[in-house]
Amino acid sequence: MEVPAQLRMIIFGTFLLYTAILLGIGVYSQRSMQKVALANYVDEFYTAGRGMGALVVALMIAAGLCSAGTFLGGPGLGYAVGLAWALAGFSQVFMNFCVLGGVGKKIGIVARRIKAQSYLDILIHRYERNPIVGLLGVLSMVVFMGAYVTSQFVGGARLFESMTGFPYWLGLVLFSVVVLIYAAFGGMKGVSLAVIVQGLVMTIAVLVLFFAAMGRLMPLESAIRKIGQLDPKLISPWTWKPQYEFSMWVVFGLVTISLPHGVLPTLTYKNTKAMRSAIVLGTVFVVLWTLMLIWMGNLTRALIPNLKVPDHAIPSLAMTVLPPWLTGVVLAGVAGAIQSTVGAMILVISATIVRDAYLAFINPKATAQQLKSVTQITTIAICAIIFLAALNPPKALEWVIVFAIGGLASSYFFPMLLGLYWWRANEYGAIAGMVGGLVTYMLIKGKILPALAFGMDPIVTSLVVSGLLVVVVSLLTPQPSKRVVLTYFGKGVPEEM
Amino acid sequence: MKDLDSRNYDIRDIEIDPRFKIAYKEMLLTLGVWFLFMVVSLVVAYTLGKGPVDQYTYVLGMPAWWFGAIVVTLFFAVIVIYISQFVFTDVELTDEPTKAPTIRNRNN
Repeated sequence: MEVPAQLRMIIFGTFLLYTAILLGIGVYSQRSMQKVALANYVDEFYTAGRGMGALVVALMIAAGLCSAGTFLGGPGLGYAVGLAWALAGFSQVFMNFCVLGGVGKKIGIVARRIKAQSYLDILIHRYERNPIVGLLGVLSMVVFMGAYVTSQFVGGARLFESMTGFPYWLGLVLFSVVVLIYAAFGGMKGVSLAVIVQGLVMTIAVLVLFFAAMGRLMPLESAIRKIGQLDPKLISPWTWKPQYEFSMWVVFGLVTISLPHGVLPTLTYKNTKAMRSAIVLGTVFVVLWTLMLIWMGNLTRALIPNLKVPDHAIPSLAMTVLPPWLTGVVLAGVAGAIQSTVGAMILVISATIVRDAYLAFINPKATAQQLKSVTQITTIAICAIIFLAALNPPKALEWVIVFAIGGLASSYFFPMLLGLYWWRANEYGAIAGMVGGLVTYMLIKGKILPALAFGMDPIVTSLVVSGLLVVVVSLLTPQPSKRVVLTYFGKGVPEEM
Repeated sequence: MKDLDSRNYDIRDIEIDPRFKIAYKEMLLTLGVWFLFMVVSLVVAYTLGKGPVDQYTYVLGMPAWWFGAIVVTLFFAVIVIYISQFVFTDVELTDEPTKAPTIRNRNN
């Protein structure tokens, strides 16, 4: 992107202001965490004492799941592939409904029974604290999510570099250090306060950009016809075969139920009234963001037909139609989308390591003081490793990213969904389903057995394989223990779990 | 303790928490609505979007299929909001002994 020097300074200034606000939140939440009693520290840190209201839960899910994809990658594909892709984007608009309506109530009750602090806690307790389930979970969570977080930072810092002209490392510092401060020192409290600012900035950025762009594009019909003349594929759904479009809907819509950073808020909401309101609020936010942003990616073609990097569609559009300081707000919106996802993911990784690795395998009898220190040290260490990895992205990173979200989704979807709603599912079925789903996904995605995709995204076949394995293997092996069935289906916890 | 680890018991002897039955029904409704949304969106888009692009009809400046997909999405947004407010029920999240009447279900 060619950006005039003066514009760069204004964009940079607006972005700094946004960063300063987040820094304030970081300091505030760190202070407020210091006041928390030692015994409640871990509970407060990971799930904010299960007291979160509707707006925060709505935004945690919406902004947590909407990452750089919604602001950069998604519109970029709208620009490069066309409206067929934008249609697939619609699949995610009801993510709050899918997560909260699908698993919210059940997890809300079970999490209180077993005192779950992490997504993996729910699975591990359900599957008899089986060490293989635990180990598989910890490994896949740390590797996949760690790589994903790193890639989000890399994307954000590159965008910062090209919009402001300042060096990559400075972008990385500004993008990441604030998150590290409010996540590592403020925990869920920091992340949930920040997400309100981020959600607000994202919404302002989207609305301003949409109406400014529409103003420039009028009359709309001739703008769209112009795009159709560039390449008819850009405005036809038939660019993708219906079965491929279907698989994209599964990837972006359905599997949100099993993504740990999306499910995280179900551990934190205060009561079911807040949960139901969170569906309403979340639906409004995500419909606005998705519809407007991904469509705009496509419409950018009419104004700027020859972008070298399609992912720059939204930033380039912003620079074309908005005054400089509002362009800075759009950059802040992108940053917000990235940081909110990253914040949630860092908490997931940290909770996984502390709860499901340290407490489960290394030191089951840790004292409250030890747990507090381990929680802090782990979270800071994760942040430091991710920062270093993003500073000089390792080659393996891109390889892991290819498998990250699809791999997570295809290994967790059925073990989670069936575990919550089908009493007969047991640990043998879960292990078979987790491994089977992931292996199938890798075989297809890694182009070893591409034919198994049947013209769709590999996730569909992987999900089918994983689901069948959970069911068949569970039925062939003993039913789950009475303790588990009582806790997850019965009327109460039999004893201290 | 020993009894709780048992894997030999009759599931019909375990009382199912009525809240979990509600949660189960709501999950089915959620997935059902989402699948319906997907099917309707895809059918609308792929039928209205058939044929050569330069002969598309336009509604409010948009190709008819795209306009249709937006209308379907907004329509389902209203349904989702309605369901969350008037169909989904409130339950107590903690296990208080006073709450929830006892239901013994032999069929489940």
